[in-house]
Amino acid sequence: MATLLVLTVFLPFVGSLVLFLQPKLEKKTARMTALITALVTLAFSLILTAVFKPDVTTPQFAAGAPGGPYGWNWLSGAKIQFALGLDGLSVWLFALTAVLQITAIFASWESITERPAHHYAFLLALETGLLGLFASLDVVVFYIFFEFTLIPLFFLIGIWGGPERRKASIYFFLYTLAGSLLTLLGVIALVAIHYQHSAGHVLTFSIPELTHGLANLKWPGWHSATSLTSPQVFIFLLLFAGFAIKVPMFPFHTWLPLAHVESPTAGSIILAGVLLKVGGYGLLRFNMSMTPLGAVYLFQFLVTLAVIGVIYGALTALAQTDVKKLVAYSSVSHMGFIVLGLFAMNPTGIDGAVIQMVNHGLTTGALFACVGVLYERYHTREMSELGGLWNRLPLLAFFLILSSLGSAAVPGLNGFVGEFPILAGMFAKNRTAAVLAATGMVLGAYYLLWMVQRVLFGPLREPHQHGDHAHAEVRPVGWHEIAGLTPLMVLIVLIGVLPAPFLARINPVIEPIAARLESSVPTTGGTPAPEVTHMNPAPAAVVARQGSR
Amino acid sequence: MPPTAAFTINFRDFYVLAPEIVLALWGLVVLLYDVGWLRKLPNASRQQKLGWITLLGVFGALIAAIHALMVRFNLYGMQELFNPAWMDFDRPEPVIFWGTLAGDLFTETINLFLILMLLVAIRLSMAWSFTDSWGEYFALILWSTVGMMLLAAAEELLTLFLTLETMTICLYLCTSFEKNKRRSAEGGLKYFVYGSVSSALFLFGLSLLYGLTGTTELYAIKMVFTPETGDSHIGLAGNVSGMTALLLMLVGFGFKVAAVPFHQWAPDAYEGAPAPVTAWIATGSKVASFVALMKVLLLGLAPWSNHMRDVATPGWVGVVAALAAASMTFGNLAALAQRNLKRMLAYSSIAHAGYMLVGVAAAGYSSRHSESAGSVLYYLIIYGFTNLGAFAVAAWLARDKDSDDISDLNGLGFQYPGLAVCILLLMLSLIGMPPLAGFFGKLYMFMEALNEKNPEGRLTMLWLVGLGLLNSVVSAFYYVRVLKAMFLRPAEGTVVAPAGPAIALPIVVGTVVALGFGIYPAPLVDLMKSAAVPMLDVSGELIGSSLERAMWNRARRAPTGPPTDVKLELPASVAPQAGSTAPQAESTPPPLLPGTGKGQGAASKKGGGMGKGAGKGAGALKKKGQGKGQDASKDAPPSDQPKTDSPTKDAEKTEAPKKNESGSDDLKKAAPKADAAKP
Repeated sequence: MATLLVLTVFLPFVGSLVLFLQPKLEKKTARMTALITALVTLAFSLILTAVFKPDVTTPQFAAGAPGGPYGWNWLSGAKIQFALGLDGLSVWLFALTAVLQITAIFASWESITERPAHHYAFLLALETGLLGLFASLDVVVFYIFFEFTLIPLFFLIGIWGGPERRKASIYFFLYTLAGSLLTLLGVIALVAIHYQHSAGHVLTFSIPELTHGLANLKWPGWHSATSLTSPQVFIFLLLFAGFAIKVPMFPFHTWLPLAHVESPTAGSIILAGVLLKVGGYGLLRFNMSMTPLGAVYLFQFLVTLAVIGVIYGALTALAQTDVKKLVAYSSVSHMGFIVLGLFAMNPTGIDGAVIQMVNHGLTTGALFACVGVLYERYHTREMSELGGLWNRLPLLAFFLILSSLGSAAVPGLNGFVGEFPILAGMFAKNRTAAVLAATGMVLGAYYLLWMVQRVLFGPLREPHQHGDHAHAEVRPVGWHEIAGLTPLMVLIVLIGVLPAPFLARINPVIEPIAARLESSVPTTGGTPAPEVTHMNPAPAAVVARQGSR
Repeated sequence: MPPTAAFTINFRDFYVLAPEIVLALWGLVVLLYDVGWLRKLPNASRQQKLGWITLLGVFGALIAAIHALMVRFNLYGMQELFNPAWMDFDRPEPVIFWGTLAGDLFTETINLFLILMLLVAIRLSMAWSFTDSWGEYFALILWSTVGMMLLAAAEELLTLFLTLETMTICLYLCTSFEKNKRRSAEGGLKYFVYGSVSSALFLFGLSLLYGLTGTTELYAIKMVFTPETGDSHIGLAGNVSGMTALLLMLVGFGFKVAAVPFHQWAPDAYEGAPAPVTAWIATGSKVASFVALMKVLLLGLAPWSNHMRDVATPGWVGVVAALAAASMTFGNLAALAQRNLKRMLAYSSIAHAGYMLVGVAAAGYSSRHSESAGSVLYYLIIYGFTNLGAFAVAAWLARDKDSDDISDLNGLGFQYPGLAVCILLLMLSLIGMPPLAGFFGKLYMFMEALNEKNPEGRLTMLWLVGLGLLNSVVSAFYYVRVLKAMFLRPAEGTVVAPAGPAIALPIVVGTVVALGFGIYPAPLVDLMKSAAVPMLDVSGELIGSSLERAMWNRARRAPTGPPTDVKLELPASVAPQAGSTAPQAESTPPPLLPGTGKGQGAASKKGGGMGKGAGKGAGALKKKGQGKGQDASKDAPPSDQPKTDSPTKDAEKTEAPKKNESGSDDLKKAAPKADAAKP
């Protein structure tokens, strides 16, 4: 299985290279090559998901024995290993990447006419970056994939994007790079601290070994957090810089709307669907697992940022007239929810956050794909110019409504499965934050339904077609668009109705992380214990359990 | 020692120097060929012919270097194949010509890389015709390389200065070779004026150092400064003359590596010089100067690095850290404002010098000298090859557009996608994006900087590394500008012609290096780390008088006083033996050039695991390296002290017990000898 995992990760890259070396390839051949590569990758990743053992907490499909070493020695001197493997945190995000890739390829099926071979090559390269990122078990390998994702997206936005594409791509590139270098500094610091203070001076870059070793470090200074310069808090902030920008959390979100609006549809789908999850995934994998005291110490600050993000994103989305911008700001709001769930620091909240990452990927991916369908036909995304499209494009209406409802967390659809435990978990931890965040949920339903109403209902309003499209009949939703969106719709409903199998694979990995977070709350003397924190775990946990089933 | 010791030349030493000798002679051949056979030919064909002839010589040097490397260090069993009796290869001497030059694995490796870079630079020079004095041009480039190679090998201050001058004087001339351009002359003049002033200051610093120690050999200098007790890091607190010498030397080195605030010449010289010369100044001379800088600081002045294991105490680590911070920040911020590709690369190379100075500071401060120094060397090699490629892009523009602004690159990605992707990879490697080699260079260097057990200095290093990473972000701004021009903007104005092999070669070579050593950096990293061991290990064959002088100088310093100040009066315990006339003793030092017989106290050296520890000499001094794998040398059997009448031995006797307890690595080498002398 280890071979299959490596194959899955690098297969898109092979496809990408093939497309790169054939720059003159026609549109049809290029997209077919890309589609076949992506489908095989999807099949492989589904096999991996199917044989994934739910109760195992150690990484699976790793090359080495369970318990490490997990991979092949890459840099022998520095103990850096090329180690790939999946565990409960990553397995669904891994599968999500493969699914959304299909949607992204179908979304650019007709719309990309300029240098299609390169477009698909970058898309596939991006997929390798993301798959590798979720599967890597070594910090250096993780970081390499993390940075590698920047380059294809930089070109996707910069070459095939909208009128402001150059600014958007550079903005995106530099913003993310700035944060990720701070993350790198934090990671190096973690490795160095582990090397200096672990029993026997173990130099390791392996993520599981670091997580385990840092928890049992023989250094009293490591296990207390009293000020901002305490090691765990300081390193937490370094790591946080990169991931918070990726998420994006409230003050670091400014690159997102620009990148989304200028990006081609495929880029938006992958960006919102998967790339933002890298932030949440990194927070959980590094910040919460390796420097839990930092999270505990900074609890108030982090939760404040998350709540502001939820409400600010929702209010800004309300004010948008551009459909794509609206969806982009809704991402800011929903990602705030996910971060809130992570910082609830109990199994309920973190469970919800992890499943919500998958859900948000599905719904937002679907929403962006729908916006792409609209834009391809009308070359505008202004809501004032659109209306009554239910009559014109009934299938699009179905997709848009379903994904909006999923995004608005209607019970029975997937958003509910994620957002309810998040709120329940947060409620157990901090009622004020939970209540404030709940208003974000209400606002979310408001702006999404408002968008649906303006675009789909009312009298038919269509903008003037210009250019080659003048007087052309509006194409009905094509087979490729249906093929791209249907899997997402199925999953939106499936997770909503039957979340248990999904949660069952996440839970075992969450429990120890949450246990460490919860146990470290009372032991730190200097932790600012906010008055609003009402520790009342038992009833809330019960509620949450019921909610998540 | 007997003053009549045979003054012998070991002819094997010439064999070790073969690459340098080939290059130096080939420069004459090129000159003669130019004024002789090629005189009548038109400029362009003369350039091509001479270029190929020059390349022939460089190939010869390359073969000599590879041959020497393989035979002397017995790679692939080459020694059995080629081992005439008079060569005596069983003993690869670490130093040649009485300790003035190193001939160890490290030097051979650096020579090899310098010749490879030279090959690329010469090929780049054949891209277009920017002068008509081609014979002089190629000869000067060859001779500057001889200077670089000898500079990297220098083990002694005088040789160091002479080779440094050989290198830079050739480069001053090359800079102003594009005679029909005023900028070229301006750049050359600025380079020359700044360079000669800084050379004078550098020489002053060297003379102060000689005055303080009485020796010019780096290893002997280290011995003089190493205190008998306690931590070998004594720093420079209160040592005004030492600080002056150090700062003056740093002026010289700072100029050569273009570190802020000695960088002012760089942008003008880089912009004015023809692109191939710029490439060679930015890569070859920087590599050689950095090697020399590291040798002087990490070997000779190691005891002055810092005091009490903290970065911010008096000592050169603090100064170098400050230079590093200033260079990184200023270089990157200034590069942001540039629209000209060559100027941008000039400022960026100032910033890269800053990154590497972080590594040098780390190597001076950390207890893992050789690993840290190895990571700097790795960065240096990667930097050299990628920058050659980057300057080749400037040469491309200069050839076809006669201007080298970044906007001239517009649309290149659509016209020449293959080379544009190569340039993309070069730029990403210079930013430090994984998985390219530039990333691993930064990763290793910064990791070594943080990998230090002492908590005092760690925070300072953390800030420095953090600043370095922030600077990488800043650098992304201007490197991405190149990418933006190439890929995101349409072509405009005149279009550049196809690159041709001369320009494509550096770009492709740089890309292969960036990509190859990015995906699999282990071989080069391991090579550089093992090469760094001999670089920081001996050096200077401490035969006879040199060592005596060193010991004597050390003995003059008070063993009981604070270890930081260099006192000139004699301590009470040593004074009777030393004779009552210290100045007289100083004025009649032992002869400078002692014999090299095997029976003399020849310092042996561990060649990074590859050289055979010779240790045949009767008075062999084993120097214990800092590397982990070198513990064996600690147990070297005590050998006979060479019979001398100097006061050194007695002084040693009294200090021996203290030294054994001190636990300092640097002192143990002398301990067995003293033990042997005691009973």
